[in-house]
Amino acid sequence: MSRTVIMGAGVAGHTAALHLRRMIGREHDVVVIAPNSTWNWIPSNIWVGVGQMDTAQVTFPLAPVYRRKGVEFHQALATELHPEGSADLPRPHVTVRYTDPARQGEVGRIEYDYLINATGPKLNFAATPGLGPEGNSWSVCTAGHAEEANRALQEVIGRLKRGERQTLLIGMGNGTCTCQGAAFEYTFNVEHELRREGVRDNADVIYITNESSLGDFGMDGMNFGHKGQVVSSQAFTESIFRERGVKAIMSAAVERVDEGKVAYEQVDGTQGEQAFDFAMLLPPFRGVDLAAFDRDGNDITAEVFAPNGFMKVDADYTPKPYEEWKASDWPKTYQSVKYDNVWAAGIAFAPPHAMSQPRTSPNGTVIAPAPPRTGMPSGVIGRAVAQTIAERIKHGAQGKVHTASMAEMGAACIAAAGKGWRKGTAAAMTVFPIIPDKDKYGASGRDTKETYGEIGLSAHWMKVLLHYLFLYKAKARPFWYLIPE
Amino acid sequence: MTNLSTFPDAPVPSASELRARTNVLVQLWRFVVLNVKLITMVTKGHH
Repeated sequence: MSRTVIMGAGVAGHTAALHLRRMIGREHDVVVIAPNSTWNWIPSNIWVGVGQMDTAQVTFPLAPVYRRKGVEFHQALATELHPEGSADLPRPHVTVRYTDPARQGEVGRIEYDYLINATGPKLNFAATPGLGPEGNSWSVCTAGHAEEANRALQEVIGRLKRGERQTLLIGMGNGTCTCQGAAFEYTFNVEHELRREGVRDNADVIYITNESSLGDFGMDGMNFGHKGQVVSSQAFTESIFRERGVKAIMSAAVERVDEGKVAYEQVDGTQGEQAFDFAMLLPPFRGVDLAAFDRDGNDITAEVFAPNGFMKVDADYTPKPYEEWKASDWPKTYQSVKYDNVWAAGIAFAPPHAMSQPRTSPNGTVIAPAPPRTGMPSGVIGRAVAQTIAERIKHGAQGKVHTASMAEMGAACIAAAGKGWRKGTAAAMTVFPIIPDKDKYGASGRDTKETYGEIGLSAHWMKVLLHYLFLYKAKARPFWYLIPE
Repeated sequence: MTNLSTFPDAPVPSASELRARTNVLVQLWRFVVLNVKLITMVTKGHH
């Protein structure tokens, strides 16, 4: 009998838990630790943020699903990792603090044989003064944040209807942010709502980003097949901005968010300010606050985790210049560098480097989009790690090690730009591979047949289909496992 | 001071392209194509 503990129940952790439960017998324990009681299909938070969906449509309670599938669930926050055990508890274990209302604040220790760290990101609003719902801007990172953003948006729409001119600022709240795709989606969903409400003419919609060009998306841009031509994602994206009348502040690091105003610096050193009536600015990510200790109680956090708080795995973390970055630097198995029974899946692993070229302003401000961490690779990685553990449980050290390199897998981004069965629209973008491989695919680093972009109603239908498909899968309904990650 | 980009040189879709983006029959076909592309990509990425 073995005991596998999974910290986190997002896309990677939940996928890993369900697959592992399916792959091993009930004599083995599968345990999930997650601070939230619900699962959230985060891509649809965009629609919550414009009032087209509510929280109940993008979330569901985890406990009933885990009860039905035979997964032990602890609603708790993991705070300490003891991979070698401790003086009074020799087995490897995780220290948790319960967030479950029935055990609120209680501290517990959960033992494991195998551990998957799928804790996702910490939303680092503190990186920029005034950033976030507790400051002067809104967010759509969680369903709750998105509901708040929508309430503020509806107030803006109300003022627009009364004839007041309003400025809506959407984008990146720091020079090191990722998830430009989500900000892009929210920008165009808001713009769509303003038109639907008949108030677009009175509104200025401005996108602020740390990307050096539109269409970078933290992936150094891409060239894709589009109606028989190879088109840069920059031209593709700029076309949408021009068509919809959205202006942009490029290569910007937001330095401070005051009430109704952001201060930013651009890569050439230009200092700027932008007034707003509504701002939705995403935070940068870092790893969650999780400390690691050896058997003697010595702090080994720096050996297990990178400085950004993400877990170090089988990647090449050797510092090297941008020109020398290789696809092969990226991890394949996601096994911890220090412990062979610990893995990090999804956003929780430390990337070896960015994909977009990092830039620094003359004043030393870092303006560097971090690599995007979308659901698709998170799910694929979660499943691969679960497969590896299942093999280890069944066959010991001889078990097959499954791999899921982001340099060998593609990703799809369906960026909604307005909801509605007949009037909806979205930009569908696929990229293969996620990590550019210039040795294999030449200067663009990607397969231009598989890297593809299209705008239209069909992409909106696809976004809706994926919403229902992945909620069905996450609820572990019959034959859920046939739906690929 | 604000430094806004407006992308005046970006290509804009023609009237026929805009019609095609919302035409249900055209989009049904594109939906099928998009599904095939996604399934192909997902299949290549799973080991």
